[in-house]
Amino acid sequence: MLPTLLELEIEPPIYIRKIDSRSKWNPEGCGNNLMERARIASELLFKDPDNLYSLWLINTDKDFYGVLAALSANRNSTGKHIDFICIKDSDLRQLNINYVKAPEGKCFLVQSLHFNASIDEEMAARLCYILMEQGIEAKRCSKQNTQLILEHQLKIGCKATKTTALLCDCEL
Amino acid sequence: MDTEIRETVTINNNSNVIKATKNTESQITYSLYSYNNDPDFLIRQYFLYSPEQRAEIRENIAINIKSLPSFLEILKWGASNKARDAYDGAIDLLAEINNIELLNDACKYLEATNQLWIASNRTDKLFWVDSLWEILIKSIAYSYKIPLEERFKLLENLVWNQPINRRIFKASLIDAFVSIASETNTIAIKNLIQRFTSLDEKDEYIRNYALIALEELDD
Repeated sequence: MLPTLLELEIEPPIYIRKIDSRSKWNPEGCGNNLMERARIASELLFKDPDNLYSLWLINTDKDFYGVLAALSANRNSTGKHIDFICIKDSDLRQLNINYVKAPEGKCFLVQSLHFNASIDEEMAARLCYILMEQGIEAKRCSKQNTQLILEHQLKIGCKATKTTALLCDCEL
Repeated sequence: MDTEIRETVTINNNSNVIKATKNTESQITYSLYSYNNDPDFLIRQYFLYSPEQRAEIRENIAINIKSLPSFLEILKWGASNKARDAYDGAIDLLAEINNIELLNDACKYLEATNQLWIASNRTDKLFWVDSLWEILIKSIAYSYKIPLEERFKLLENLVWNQPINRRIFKASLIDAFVSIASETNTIAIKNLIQRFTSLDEKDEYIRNYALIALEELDD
């Protein structure tokens, strides 16, 4: 069975940001010092040279599957777990983070759900802090679930997979 | 002026002599014999490409990665902020390498590096080495051209030797075992992960992390 947003405890509408690893969201040695935890996590997870970060807007289960396929498209093994954090629109607005629609990826369904957010070092630390303050933990789509989703996307002819289908379901 | 310490850890192996040197209290540098400071052109080019372009050239680049310095250069790119999506780019490139000796030598190098940084109080540098370990351990798990038994043995050695008492290191190992579980004896994998759930493991986060991994393997 394909995982659902409900099972993954993802409450749409929400932006997801892929991160290197879940454990970097909880760096060691911070104890209960949220400020320190946010500072270190932001340094470990927000290190784009141009301060430009991908966000994917998720409204439905299908959106989530498409995003997973898009994120896996250029990897050499498609059976990997994917770690991410969930960010609400209100979190971005609270920090005046500038984010613009920037179509990306090969999945037609979710191309238009991709945004680029400009987040500098200080803003990244503040973003991590307000998320951590809300008790938000990094999430994981397990290897097993990722494989199920990618098999499903292949079956429907998603262009982010190695499909040979001429048309994807969303084009029909 | 800083006092010069010059503390050195040296590893001899078949292909290279590795030397990690702590020069001063405030400045620690690493050097490699025969290491050319200019990174391999191919590696630099790879990371400056987009993820789509990287996927197209990855296999051909990996064929040319034959030395430990080149391997380490990729690790450093992956942990740096010099290119977009460099972390995934490094893991995918290293996973194409078909040379267990290189993976083994990289582990020895990071063990030596870690020893030096632990002696200092530079937590920023320890987090830097954590990132290198994380990329290396994931690469070992995903190196599909290397026989599973060899990858498993290398990961298992990292558990038993336990060279690094760091959260990210242990979490990466647990993830690596979950990742290869479908290819091998799940009981052996579970036993290794179980080790991180006991009270001997002082980090509660890792104990919980291991329990979640075991649940995932039971699903």
